[in-house]
Amino acid sequence: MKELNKILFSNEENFIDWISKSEPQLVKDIHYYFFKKDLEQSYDSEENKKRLSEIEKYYQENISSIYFSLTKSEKVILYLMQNSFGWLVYDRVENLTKLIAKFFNFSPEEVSIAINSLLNRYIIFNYKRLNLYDFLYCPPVFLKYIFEYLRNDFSNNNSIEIKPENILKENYIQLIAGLISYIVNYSPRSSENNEIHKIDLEKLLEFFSDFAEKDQIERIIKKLTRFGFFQKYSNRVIINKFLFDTIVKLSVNEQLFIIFLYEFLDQLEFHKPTFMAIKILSHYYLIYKKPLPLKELFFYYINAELYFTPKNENKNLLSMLKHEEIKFISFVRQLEHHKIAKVIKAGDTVSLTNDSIIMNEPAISLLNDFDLSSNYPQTTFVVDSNFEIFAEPEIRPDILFKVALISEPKTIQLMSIFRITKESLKKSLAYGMKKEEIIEFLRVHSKHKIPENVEKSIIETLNEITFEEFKNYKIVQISAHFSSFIREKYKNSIIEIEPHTFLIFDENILKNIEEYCNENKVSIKYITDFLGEKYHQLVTKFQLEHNIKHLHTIKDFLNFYGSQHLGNILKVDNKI
Amino acid sequence: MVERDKVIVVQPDKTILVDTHHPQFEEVRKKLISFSELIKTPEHMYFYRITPISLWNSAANGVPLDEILETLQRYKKYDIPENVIDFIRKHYTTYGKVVFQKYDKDRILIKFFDEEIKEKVEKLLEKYILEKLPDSILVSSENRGVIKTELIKHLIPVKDLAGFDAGNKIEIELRNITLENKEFKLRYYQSEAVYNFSKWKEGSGIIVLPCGAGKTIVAIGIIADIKEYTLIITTSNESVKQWKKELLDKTTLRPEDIGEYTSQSKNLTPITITTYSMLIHKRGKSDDMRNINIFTTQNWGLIVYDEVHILPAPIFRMTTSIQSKRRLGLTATLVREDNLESEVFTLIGPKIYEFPWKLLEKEGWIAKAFCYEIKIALPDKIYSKYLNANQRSKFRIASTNPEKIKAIEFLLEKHKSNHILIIGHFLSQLQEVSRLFNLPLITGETLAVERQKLYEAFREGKIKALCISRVGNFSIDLPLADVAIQISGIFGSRQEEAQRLGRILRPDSGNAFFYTLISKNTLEEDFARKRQLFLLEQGYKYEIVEFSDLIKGKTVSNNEGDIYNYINKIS
Repeated sequence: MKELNKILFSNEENFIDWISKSEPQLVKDIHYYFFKKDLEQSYDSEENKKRLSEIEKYYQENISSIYFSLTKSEKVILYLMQNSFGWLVYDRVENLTKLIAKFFNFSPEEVSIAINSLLNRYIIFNYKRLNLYDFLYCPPVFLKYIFEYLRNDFSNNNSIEIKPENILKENYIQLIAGLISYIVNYSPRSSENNEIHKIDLEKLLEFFSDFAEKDQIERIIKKLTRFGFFQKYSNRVIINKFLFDTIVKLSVNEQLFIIFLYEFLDQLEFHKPTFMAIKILSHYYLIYKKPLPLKELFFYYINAELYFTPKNENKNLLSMLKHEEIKFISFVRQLEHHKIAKVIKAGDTVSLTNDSIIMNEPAISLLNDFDLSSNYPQTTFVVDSNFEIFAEPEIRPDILFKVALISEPKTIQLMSIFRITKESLKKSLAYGMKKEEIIEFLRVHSKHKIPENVEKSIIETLNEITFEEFKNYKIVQISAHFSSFIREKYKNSIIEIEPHTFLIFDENILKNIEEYCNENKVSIKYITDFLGEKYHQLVTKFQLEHNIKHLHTIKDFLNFYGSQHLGNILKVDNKI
Repeated sequence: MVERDKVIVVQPDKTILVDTHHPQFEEVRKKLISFSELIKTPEHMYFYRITPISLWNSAANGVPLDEILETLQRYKKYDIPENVIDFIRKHYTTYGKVVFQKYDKDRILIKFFDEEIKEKVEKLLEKYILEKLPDSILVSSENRGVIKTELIKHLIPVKDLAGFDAGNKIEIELRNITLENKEFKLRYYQSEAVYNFSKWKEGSGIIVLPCGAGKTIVAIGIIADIKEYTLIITTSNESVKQWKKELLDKTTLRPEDIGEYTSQSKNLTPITITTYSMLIHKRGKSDDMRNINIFTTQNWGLIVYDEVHILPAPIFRMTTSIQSKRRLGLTATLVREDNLESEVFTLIGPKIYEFPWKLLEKEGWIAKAFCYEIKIALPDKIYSKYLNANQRSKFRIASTNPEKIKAIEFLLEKHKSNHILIIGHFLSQLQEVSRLFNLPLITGETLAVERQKLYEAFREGKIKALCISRVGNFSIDLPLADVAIQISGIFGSRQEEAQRLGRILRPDSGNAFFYTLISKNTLEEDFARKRQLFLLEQGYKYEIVEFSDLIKGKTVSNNEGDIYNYINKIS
């Protein structure tokens, strides 16, 4: 509960601060209304703050009688405000009353009376804005006290409980791990003449086709590229060497956010009204434990849309509504498509009047910054005698990523299966694993004893490798015809990171190879270090954090979108 | 919902994974085998796969659908993917929707128990339909096999209750004391298999038993149970001899009852044994397969297909025309390299009995096998030649590493009290080994008589070691062999691997040892890895040792099969 309060009312300070500074007359009026003491109007904001605190206290102490004195329509208005961050936007107040009346089965007169009554009792306020639509506002300091009462009245009393979909169902973490593993192990395919270097995307998609839809995989790759985990460099897709370091350091929430939510929001270009609508949707289940009728979400959606609409832009409310409805339905379909929410349909198509919508668990959790790591409690995997590693869906992501790095993906499904090979061990060294770390890691996390043949073989492979550390390397590319000689001759001291392209650690070996190439008139190409620091910087930590953080609290959210609702305001009053 | 204490994970691709250390493992494996195929058995995790055929097999064997679903639900750790449940329902319920019954002498009645399938089948079989009746159609008996094959292509299995023609009768009983004067009775799993076949209402089917478990004995049990003329088709002339020997030894059949139908002698007798190659043999390209009519020249009551998993495609075509004969397929694995499993299901029949390999090993019916890969460095000079060679030559250079001779010498010396097979791919290499160690060599060139003599001598223990080329890959029974040394080979084929190991997995020997000699740091290692994976996935122990360590007598681990301990013990 405390958690929920923090999520819902984190911006309460804004209101008190702002009003105590800029509306001395209003503070005086409210105070008079509640305490009937005719105080002088004060220009000292500290004094006004004190007066407002007294009011808050009064409100808190008398909340029960205040709430029960409300009419049904007044309660509905507060309920709507509660859900839409406290505000109800209007162009003309008659339109607002009509809208509410229509959506929630009242007569416009009833709604009008309710609004006026709430205004008169200083429960809600009227914000007049300069360029944008005005709105009615119920400050969080008040809302938080009636919140519990509203919740009781509007909560789920249906016997059938519909639950949001579980986080494990989509295997997001498994997919990232699988992709990393796939790309590290099978990365760039090349043509014989060394010109085309790229991941065979079709093949990759085919590999994952049992476990995820092609477009989902494509979207994930796009996202990971966007955050710099993969890079396009001279026509090839490569993995950032620091990918592993970076991704392991992220929290589970952040890892999920990258491929799950960010993508969706990005597609909507972080469009503010839609973002607010999903924010409302995410809160709704937390509070009322039931799906939200689509009709009601549409109301909030328009409300949010209007919030950012300049005055006089809409001449005709009805045509605007029709236009918004089309946009809204497509937005709902997007939510479904991205598996962010599920529409509970009465028929085959989405119906605004009959259907309701429920957000899926991962989206709710991410939007509210719930710690998701408890969904991944497992720290062990099975290492089998055929060199396969079995990781269950609940395995801790950082452990899974490490597994993905040292082995090849076999199948990414409910149970992800990887296989350790000589090549995979070597490649993992190129991506920052350390020799001594590998066997220790397997020992610590192996659920059953590592089969002797496997342990022995790994140790043997690692012992054969002559380079100690991944530094001071050169990258050279050798013509296809001769590269197999180099590959075999120096198999334990160099790493082939892509066909005919080798990481060489030892100056003497480099010299030998150069001599060999000179003797045989083989061309040798020195490749710019595309694994190095330079590309690491592209994973802009700040960009990532910045994008994740603002999703989590309303306060951050409002900061992110600017403070328009406070900014260009002419007046706050209890009159329309 | 996650039930962390449960044992199985059902994957969307229809594999089922089972942790062998889980307390419910023993309980659940028995249930899984009734509707899925056991694919891999490495140390910690068993793989089962649900296939249309595995589901038809279970429907044919009367395992209720609810029981299958209930098993999955009861033991599942994570929710079962919906596509898997749909798949099970769909394929399980197709079995029994199309039933063959005998209508009269020349016609078969095809009955339908599903409107949708009826429409589909009627469309597919348009040209075969003689008459349409309500809910059924009449077709000619001649087309029984063709129709079944046609339908299986569309994943429609047929429940064939059209019966089978009885063959001529023959007197045959199992002996209690064999000709070799040993006590004889069927082992419990063998008589279970015989019993399952005899009560089997469709009359034809497949028995799956690992190498060395006595498939021949099961077939003999079935022949003795049916007591009708029988045609046995097997893989090689040696194997023909083997069958004959076993039949004489373990039954009351007289030598004149059993005939060999081979290139050397063409005897049609109540029990006739022939080979696949004999049946599909043609004199010239335009010639017909002239031996094909063997199926119809005698009134057979049973046709036995040995090693069904390598049954050649032309035999399938022949088999379509003899669907009114009872058929028995024998194999160690239903997995075929050519994916013709559904043909086997349709034309031979469903799986009637299976007994898992590892359980037989555990119960001591077959030898416990230890596999070792011995790595031997190529001499420097040859290694640089190797590095500069092309792929093809590389394989040859690595395979014929002269240092391997030292390893063979070492192993021959250490295993001097055992019976050793040396198996190789390159003839020149085998000849050299044969010459150096004075061992007899069997190749494709070796005359059958000579070959037979050598096998006999080996069986009787007169020869301790034998070099054999690829010819040794098919089922010849060499009960005394308990050590196999593979010095080179075409790697990668699962069949070949199972066969080679099968050579030495005979019950007379206690422990069996399988050595593979590999040139270090060559592509032989990569090839070997594939083979190694297959064996590991079959649940064998597999150890990799360096030859240089081996001769130093260095001890690394202490498990039972440990090569160093073993070698130290016997030396």
